[in-house]
Amino acid sequence: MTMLLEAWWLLPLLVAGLCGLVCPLLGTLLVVQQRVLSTNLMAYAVLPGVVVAKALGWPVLLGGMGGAMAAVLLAELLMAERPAGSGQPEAVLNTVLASCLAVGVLLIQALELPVDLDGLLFGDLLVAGPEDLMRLVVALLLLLLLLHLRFKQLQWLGLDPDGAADRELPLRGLRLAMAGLTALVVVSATAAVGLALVMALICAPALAALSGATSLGQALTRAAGLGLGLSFLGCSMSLALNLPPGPLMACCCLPLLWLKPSPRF
Amino acid sequence: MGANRGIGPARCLAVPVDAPLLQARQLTFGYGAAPVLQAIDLDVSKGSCTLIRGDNGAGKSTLLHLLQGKVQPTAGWVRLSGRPLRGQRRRLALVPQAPSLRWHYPINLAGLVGMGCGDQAQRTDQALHQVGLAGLAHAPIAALSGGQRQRALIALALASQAEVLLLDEPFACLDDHSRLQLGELIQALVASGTAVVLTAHGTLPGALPQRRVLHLQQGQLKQTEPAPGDRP
Repeated sequence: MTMLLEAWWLLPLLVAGLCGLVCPLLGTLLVVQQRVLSTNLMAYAVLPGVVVAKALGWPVLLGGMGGAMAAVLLAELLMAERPAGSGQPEAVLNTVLASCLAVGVLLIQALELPVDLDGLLFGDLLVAGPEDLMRLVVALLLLLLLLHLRFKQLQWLGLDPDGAADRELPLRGLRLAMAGLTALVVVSATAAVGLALVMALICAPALAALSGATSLGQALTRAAGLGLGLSFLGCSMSLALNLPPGPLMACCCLPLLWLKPSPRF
Repeated sequence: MGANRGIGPARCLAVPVDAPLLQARQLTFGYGAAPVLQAIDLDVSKGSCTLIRGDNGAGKSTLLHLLQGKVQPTAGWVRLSGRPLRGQRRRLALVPQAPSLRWHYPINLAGLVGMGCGDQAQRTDQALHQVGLAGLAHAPIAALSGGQRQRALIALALASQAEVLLLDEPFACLDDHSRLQLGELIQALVASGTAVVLTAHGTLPGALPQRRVLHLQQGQLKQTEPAPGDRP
């Protein structure tokens, strides 16, 4: 702990590094399960949850996760009657997303809360504390535990959800676990990259890792490595350029999209 | 690529002889108020081949989904070995006309088939040999052609040790060579004791085994004489 206090850069670096590990790992699962859009919704729905938690004096983690889960449940409810493949479910998701962001911003103003909106949206590693580090450690451990215990079922969920249902796998529980874990990761990553930028760290390394991957395990390993590299690159650039690390990390994600998928080899 | 590898020579079997493996009684289903299937009775025996014909929209796919237990009937029941389907749906495998499987998933063919049997190498190899795709075991599933994908799904079902294969329009969108290969595969599977129920319209490949032909019309299932294109 003394070392953490003396070396001011160590804690932010650890937080960034853990973020770079946990976001791409989860992102790889979310991309293959085609759950990216609902994850984006969760990221924005964290804001009103955090604001309500601050207003009531509740733990921020609880408020953020509650907001994210409530928004997903609301969206699922509103999408239930919309035909899949019509584009309507995506429109519902985006509307709920925008509304959640709006509710969060309005609540901050209406309740006159001392909330650092910039920090929440774009991250501020310099104010990251040991509790941010602990949240990320817990999120990473839970994700690894889920992968260890339910890897085959997670594979089925991504490969063929209908086939998984035919095999009478516990899909509802698995989806709920994934949603809870996603909410936890999004809230935990707020310190490093913020709610608005976390999707870049969730998606870009996963997309690059999936390019030409022959197994989910291989894609997960690649994504974690790329995410870790991106985090350290963003932090290094931040020191060199004296710019905030969160946006720099998100900017570094963009070139990864030039890696094209190669299904035939 | 021989479709019969690992099974032995194909032969024609008489239909049906044993106690039914799969039974449906008074199976009724409708979307809203419109009835699609009315009081369907069907027996499927081990090592038999049942062909269900019918026009587009006649309810062939719906019937297969009911037999698999994916869709619940409004009346009637389906039993497997005399017991309700619940808890034993793995013994049935449906290969749908438009599979929900995501072919861009990062997995090779052996990995996909292995998922049907908990990655048991021997069963995976056997299933791949049965469908004639052993040479493509390490190919990513995204690289498979339409015909190979059909056979990959059948291999997955075989690896799961499914005793009843429900094939929905398996010959649709296949070229002549792939149709012939798939016909030979079905013949070999029936010869090895698998019960096959398939739907089709149009002509069928000559390699199919002897089969019972049922016609689905206005929600009713009627046994018919094989049409010229149905003859083995």
